[in-house]
Amino acid sequence: MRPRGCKLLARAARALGNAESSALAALHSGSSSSSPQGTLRRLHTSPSAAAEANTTTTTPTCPSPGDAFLEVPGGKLPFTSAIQFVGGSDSPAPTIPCYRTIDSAGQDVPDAQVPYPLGQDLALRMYTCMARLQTMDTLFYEAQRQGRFSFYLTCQGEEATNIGSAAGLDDKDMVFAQYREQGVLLWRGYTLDQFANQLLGNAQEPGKGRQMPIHYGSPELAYQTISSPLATQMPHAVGAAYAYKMDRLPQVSVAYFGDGASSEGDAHAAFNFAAVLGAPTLFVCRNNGYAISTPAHEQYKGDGIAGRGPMYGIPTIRVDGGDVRAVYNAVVAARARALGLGSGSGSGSPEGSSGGGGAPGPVLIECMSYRCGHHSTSDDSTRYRTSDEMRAWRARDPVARFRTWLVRRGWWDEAQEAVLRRTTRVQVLEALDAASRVAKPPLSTLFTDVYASLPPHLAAQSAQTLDFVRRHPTICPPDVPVQ
Amino acid sequence: MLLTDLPGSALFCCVVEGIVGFGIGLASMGHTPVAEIQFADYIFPAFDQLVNEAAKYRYRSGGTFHCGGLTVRAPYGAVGHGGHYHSQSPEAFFTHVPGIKVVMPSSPAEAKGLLLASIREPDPVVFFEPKMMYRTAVEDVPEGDYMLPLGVARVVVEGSDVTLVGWGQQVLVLQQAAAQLHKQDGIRCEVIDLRTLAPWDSEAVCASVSKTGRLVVAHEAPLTGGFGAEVAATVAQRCFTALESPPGRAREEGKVACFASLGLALFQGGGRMGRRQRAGPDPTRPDSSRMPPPVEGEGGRMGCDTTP
Repeated sequence: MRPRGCKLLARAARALGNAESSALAALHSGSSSSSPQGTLRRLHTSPSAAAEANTTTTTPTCPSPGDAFLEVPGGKLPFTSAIQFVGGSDSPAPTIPCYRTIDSAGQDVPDAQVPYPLGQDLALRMYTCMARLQTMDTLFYEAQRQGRFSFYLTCQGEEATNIGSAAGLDDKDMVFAQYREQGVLLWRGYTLDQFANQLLGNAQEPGKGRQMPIHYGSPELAYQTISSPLATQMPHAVGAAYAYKMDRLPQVSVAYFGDGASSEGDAHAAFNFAAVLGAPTLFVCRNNGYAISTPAHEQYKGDGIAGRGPMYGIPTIRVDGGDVRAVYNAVVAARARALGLGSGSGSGSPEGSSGGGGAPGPVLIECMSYRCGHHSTSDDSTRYRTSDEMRAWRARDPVARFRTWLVRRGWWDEAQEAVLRRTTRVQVLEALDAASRVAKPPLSTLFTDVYASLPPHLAAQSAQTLDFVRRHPTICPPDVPVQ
Repeated sequence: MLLTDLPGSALFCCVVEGIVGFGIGLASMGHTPVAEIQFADYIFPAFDQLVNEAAKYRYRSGGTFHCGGLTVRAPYGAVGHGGHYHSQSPEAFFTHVPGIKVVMPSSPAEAKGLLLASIREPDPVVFFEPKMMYRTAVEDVPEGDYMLPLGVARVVVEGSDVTLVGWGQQVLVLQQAAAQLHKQDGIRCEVIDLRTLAPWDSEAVCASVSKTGRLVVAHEAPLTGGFGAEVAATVAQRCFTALESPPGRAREEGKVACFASLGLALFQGGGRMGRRQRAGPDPTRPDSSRMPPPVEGEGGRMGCDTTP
């Protein structure tokens, strides 16, 4: 007979009380019968870790006699008698400060820690790259406005983030960029010709003209081809890092992403996977204040993206993204941590599952800067921000800031500046001219590379397409050869 | 066992788009990850990663990068009590994306050979396993290493009167329908298991229809926009003059209401197949003398599809 009302509740309460002590154990033991010896499935990263896991780690059982902690599969939690909320507007978490070594006036911050000082050669290499990047961006942007190709986006305001981070990496560290990291490519040696070829989609670019401009890629420079969807590259970077870890290679993967992309689900997945699996991934967030037209204060309510890192168990630093030396130092330090060479251990052993202190794992670096340009050539940002704001930030140009710092040291001067800008301008224009004289990829490549080899149905479609074009030659643009 | 023999090679994770994205990253570095989605019903968070990333990885980079080592496995199909979210057959969504391959085995021995081929295939493969067969199928599976070719269909039963095309757990249903039709009406059905849906073996199906003159495609997934439409349209175009009747798709009625009754309806699938065939072609055509006249009032829960 079905119990009713109070009797039902009483029976439920008794059942719950009996079940609680063994339910948690049964949850992970995989059996339906209660067992106090439930063993957690721990993620294995080495033979010894596997053996260790079989002997159990945190095993949920009956409450300990002292009842001092709540022991659950997630860990050992102290109790509190206070009903207190953490976070939110009443009790916000403290804001993570910004690491900075060169101030807005281009002077050394007196007490700044600079574990990796810049020698003259490295500093000049970084500066010339930043200046070339700035000039290249300006000219390519103008060329798009003139109709020479269909689309462009600049990284103006973020030159220090691009170059400082690139300089702090190993050249073989695999980069998974979003789309505003052309400076990383430039640092690694992507030539102006290569940029121009991709922008014009000609037959010399390895992407065979299939993607929009700025979707660069280069296996030789360990820079994965850009895709348009946001944040999809972040879990890829974690998988690549795990490949390095499995293969025992001393490399990290790098995932660049913006403040807007960090709101995507893939970002959360990537952070969590990397943390749990101990994947040596550098997450470099370019927080430039805007996601197209969404300002950062409408993108998140917490402490930016850096505030999330510790919650995933990821060591995190926030950096002045306009200070190239700070970015460089943060990335070099982060890289060592990600490899498990961080403070306290030089072994670089692949054991364990968290970054820093001898175990490989992810590190999060949030570079704070400002997107000086429009989102892209398809955007007019005067529609959602004031000219005053843009002007104020242009005055904080990271390239100018570093130049001032160099000039103070006597490592650079106006004459060298003029020569650099002039020669870069000439080179960019020459590259564009040369690229425009190269033919487009032939139509016959339209169906290749969909699969490793052409399947019958695509071969048939390809044949039909080419046959149609031959019979109607005006269909095909004049600069696209058929075969 | 992967866990004990190869520590670190099996991971337990809980974020579907993360699983597939992570697998893509591993594959882009030359590894061969096998990513499992616990039920095909839960694959959709990874749809962006599969469609926009995995499928396009090679093409968009001009072949300079690829993630061909990736295989994504997921159990699919109704078992009777799974409801909306443990029963789906989402294969049609993925066949529509150039760049990935879609494979669906119909038996244990098929599954082993096709899975090994999928893992070794230099393209990302989505592999849907018929979950009903996990516990119901009994078959001798050859030990040792063997592969079955992708993109090649299998003629399961030879016949001369009508071509029945299916995949996954539906192949067994087609076999049962063929046996029933043969026994009751002397109709000889040719049953084809496509095995791979993308790319699919249109040559084999068209060769069969050129011989039989009739086609019925059957699948568990909803009728509208299902992969049966791709097969039927291709056959209609390529075998038009050989066809005695329009290519048909057997309807999976009642898919909307996923209750236990649906399970019964599916298990009656063999019967529905039979009724579909008997309804067959135009009785005024000369060859229709081989087919019995349309049967009215067959009764049964789901009714009878008598459209020719």
